[in-house]
Amino acid sequence: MTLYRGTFGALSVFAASLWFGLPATSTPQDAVGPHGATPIDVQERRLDALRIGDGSAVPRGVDPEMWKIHQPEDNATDAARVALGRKLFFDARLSRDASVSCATCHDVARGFGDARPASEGIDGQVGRRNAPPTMNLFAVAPAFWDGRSPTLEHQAIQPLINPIEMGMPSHDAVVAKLKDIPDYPPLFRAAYGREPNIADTGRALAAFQRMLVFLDAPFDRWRAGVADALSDSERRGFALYEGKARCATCHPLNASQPVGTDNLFHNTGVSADKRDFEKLVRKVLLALDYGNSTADVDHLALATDMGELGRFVVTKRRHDIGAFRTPQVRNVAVTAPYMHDGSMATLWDVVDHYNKGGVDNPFLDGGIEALALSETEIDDLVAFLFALTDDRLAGPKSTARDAQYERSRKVRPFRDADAAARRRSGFESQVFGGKDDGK
Amino acid sequence: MTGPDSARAIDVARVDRRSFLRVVSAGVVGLCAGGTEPFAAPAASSPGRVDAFRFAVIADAHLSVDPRNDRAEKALLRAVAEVNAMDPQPDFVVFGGDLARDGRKDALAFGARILKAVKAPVRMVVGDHDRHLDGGAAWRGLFGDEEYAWTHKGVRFVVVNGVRRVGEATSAATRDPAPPGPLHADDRRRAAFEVGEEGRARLAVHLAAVTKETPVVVLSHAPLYKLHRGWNLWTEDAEAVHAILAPFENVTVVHAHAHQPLAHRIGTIDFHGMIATAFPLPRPPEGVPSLSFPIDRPNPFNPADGCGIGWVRIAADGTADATHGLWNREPITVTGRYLRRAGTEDRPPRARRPSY
Ligand code: HEC
Ligand code: HEC
Repeated sequence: MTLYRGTFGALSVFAASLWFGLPATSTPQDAVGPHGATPIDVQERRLDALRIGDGSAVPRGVDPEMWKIHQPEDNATDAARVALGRKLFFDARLSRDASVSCATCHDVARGFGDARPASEGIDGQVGRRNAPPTMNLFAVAPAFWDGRSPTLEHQAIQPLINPIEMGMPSHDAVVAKLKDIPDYPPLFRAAYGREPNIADTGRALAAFQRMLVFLDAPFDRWRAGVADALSDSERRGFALYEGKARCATCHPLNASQPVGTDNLFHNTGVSADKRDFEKLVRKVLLALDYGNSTADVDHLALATDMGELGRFVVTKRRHDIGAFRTPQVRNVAVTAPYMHDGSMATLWDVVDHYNKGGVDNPFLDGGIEALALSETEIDDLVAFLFALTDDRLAGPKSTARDAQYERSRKVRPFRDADAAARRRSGFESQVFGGKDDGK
Repeated sequence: MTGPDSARAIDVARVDRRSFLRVVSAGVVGLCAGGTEPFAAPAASSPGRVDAFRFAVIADAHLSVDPRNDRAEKALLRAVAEVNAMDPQPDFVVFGGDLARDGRKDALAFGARILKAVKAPVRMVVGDHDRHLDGGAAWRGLFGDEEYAWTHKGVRFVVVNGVRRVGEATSAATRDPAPPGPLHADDRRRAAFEVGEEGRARLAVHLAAVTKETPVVVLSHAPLYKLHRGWNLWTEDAEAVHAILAPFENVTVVHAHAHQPLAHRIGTIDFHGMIATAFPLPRPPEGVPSLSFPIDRPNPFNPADGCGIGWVRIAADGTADATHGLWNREPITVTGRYLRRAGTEDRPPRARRPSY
């Protein structure tokens, strides 16, 4: 570990602090591990302080019936499985050069993400996708931005062998390593009653991640009847979220969808202005002819520009071009930057993007429309999004809000008031090539 | 944009309307057709055999060119991008009618502008909404005559105007524009659609040019059969139209107007109702023809759901397989074989789609 602190570590800190000029949420300035992540011992202490459940009971804030529905048949959550999963999650020995663990990119001190647009893995390689938080995933499926993993269990064993993440040559090599580390065989036997194997490795990691539940926000108290749990501005923001701004159509927040995702795929135009979709389609179909195993698709998605096609890479259906699984909106305060490519620095940017009706492209989801939100309404909506933050993350939340607010008063790269108010429409410029001569 | 691309196809637009009717009523139909168009012998060697090919269908765009609601415009742009991305390219693209929501000239012109971006040749069919304001004058100014025909790779294509109103030729009262009120909600207050005497005569002329073995594809906006009068999924003179088509061994009608996939077979005629780009419509109260594949209720949160483009593959034996390329669902292919075997073979698989 110390070996890397001086090399990749220093570089990554530099990269991480450079993105959009915002401070990485709450990273102690003095403590940095390999690839710029918070050192594991610091992360583990943080996690202890967050008091997540040990797996012996339903996590706080989750309806027991709901919890039961989301429990896989072959991997019911229990304390032994969660303990094993936790150990695996923080263990960099599962990577080829022992420098990368799950917690490198899903950093407890950075909202279980890595607070940078795209993640850095083994040998300092940087992928193309933003690391989503591993919070509240009990209610999120399929996994990954493009849903290429059906379950958390299946997902958890992909990064181990992805050449730009943890870089192990094969799942067999992972299992061999686990068998060689004296701690693991007894833990596996206690959890699953057998020797270490790759499927149980995935199960244990999933069981641990299911316990990372952060649903104790001001919004939940307000919903439960505490009238002053939300400010006036936050309440107006919620009305917009459910009404004029149409957020709830894809990010529902209710008893059956508590984390704010419909778990479906939508093209909101995030990557549309940067990419020639048709060219990528031809490229990806060719590439999939050569190999379309789980690992091949994983590689295409993370390490090539073809990943910008989103769900299409998985289904090859044209209507999935540029579509990504709706992410949760819980705790977004502490998970910047946003979107699958980490292209938006603040929640003001996110709302600006929706306000102008996304970015026009043939596959734009029908639910994306110009919203005509005023500046006050935008501020209210953003205030509401901050109110979705679990109280245990209140510190990082206020740091992030200050930084994002300050930035939003200086730069708003995604704002387009004319498009938002429909003073100019996308279709006219598309047809007339910018010249308004056809009217 | 409309009209034939090959020199041997008839250009009805150039035939003066009155002299055309005069010849038709004088019973010298064959002479007229022969006079303007050399008889097109089927391209392939054995009768009824053709070179297989595919054409695309875009229909029911319902443009209003109102920046406050640009869904229809965006949907048509998407349709154009989709057909342009088809690989291999379709031989041509049929626009199935209802380009403009209420037939305004600027909306029609805007639509024409969008369709210019289509790479393949475009064939236009007139829809009822296109004629709302002026009985189709603006549409004809842009695209030419509503009724024309051509032969492509051994298949006879005939475009009919299936949206004349019963009696419109004689009575101005029954002519569009319609009485005020929602355009589509209840068409009962207006006269029913018909191909009409003039249209049937032209259809006969266009078919007289080929042998009975030649596969025929009729392109119409309205279904050309009787399903639901209230929404004018209805052709008053359907039986007379079918009688003209009956002698041909291999006839397929490709129509729009229903904004949902429809499949039907009457006598020896296959019918394929294609989907819209603008919005889906519900099933008619009578239900749909038994061979149809009604889709589940479209997702109200996603205006693209239930919409899309289509394409039709003509097989070597001249049968037509229609595919509904739904934008938010699996495509549905209804084959000619499925229709001709009364649904006992080639049944399309049930659509797999997530709930919402
Ligand atoms: C090199 C950085 C990196 C490492 C190491 C890493 N991840 Fe990730 N993780 C990502 C990125 C980037 C994504 C998003 C990729 C995508 O969606 O295509 C992701 C996605 C996920 C998701 C899906 C979340 C969702 O909302 O769909 C889960 C769960 C996850 N990782 C868990 C893990 C586990 C468990 C490990 C350790 C075995 C791990 N990750 C290792 C970067 C990393
Ligand atoms: C049509 C569905 C849809 C609607 C409506 C919608 N979203 Fe999203 N949202 C998505 C999808 C899909 C993504 C991911 C897009 C991507 O990364 O390309 C996303 C991403 C986000 C993110 C980034 C989360 C992260 O972790 O990176 C936030 C925040 C967000 N949406 C908030 C909102 C708000 C606020 C509204 C209302 C103004 C809204 N969304 C409306 C589908 C939708």
